[in-house]
Amino acid sequence: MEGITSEALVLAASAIGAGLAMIAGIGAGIGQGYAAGKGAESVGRQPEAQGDIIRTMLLGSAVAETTGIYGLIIALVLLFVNPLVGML
Amino acid sequence: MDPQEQINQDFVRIIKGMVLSNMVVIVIGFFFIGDPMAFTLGLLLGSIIAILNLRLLYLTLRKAVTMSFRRAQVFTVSRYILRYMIIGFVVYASLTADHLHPFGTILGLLLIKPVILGTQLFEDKAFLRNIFARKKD
Repeated sequence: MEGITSEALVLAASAIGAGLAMIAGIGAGIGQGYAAGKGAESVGRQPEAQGDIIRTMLLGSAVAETTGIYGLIIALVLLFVNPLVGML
Repeated sequence: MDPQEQINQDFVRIIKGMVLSNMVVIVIGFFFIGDPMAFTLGLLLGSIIAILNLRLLYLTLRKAVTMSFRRAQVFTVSRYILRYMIIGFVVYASLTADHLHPFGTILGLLLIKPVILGTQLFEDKAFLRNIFARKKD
């Protein structure tokens, strides 16, 4: 049986790193879902404020969503471009 | 002002901010990026997807607030995963295609955050002053 090459080791570690980076997306998703649920509750309590609630939630969620994109980009770069292999 | 009209105005301001910041980034990119055409294409693609995602987010939230707490949570998270996948496809396409600069695409996707903060939060000078001003007793 052949030993593990350094390139294979870096690729395996990159795949694990990509998986770990994707955890960043979970937080934004849970937060957005929770905010939407609370928004629905608020609209039920005060229907006339629906427009203001949606507007505030929209801007907050849009800003929060970009945080999840950071992790996705890191994961995709590690999987498909992988600058670490070139350093070997 | 009617909230719906205010949201439409917000969209117009965000799109204007994106166009303006894109122009600035393109001009800077012409001096510092090796392939400016690919960078410009990537930036435009990223910006357009970011704006369309914002619109999708708005449609999602508009529908979610009419649901019950649990259903709104599930609906919003499912739509979030859909938007996340769209962004994933776009980034993957820019990483693999030769005529798109990945840095431009990523910059276009992330540029919406400073634009929203700039056009909605930090546009008011009094707000900025109040952040740093000491509260009077």
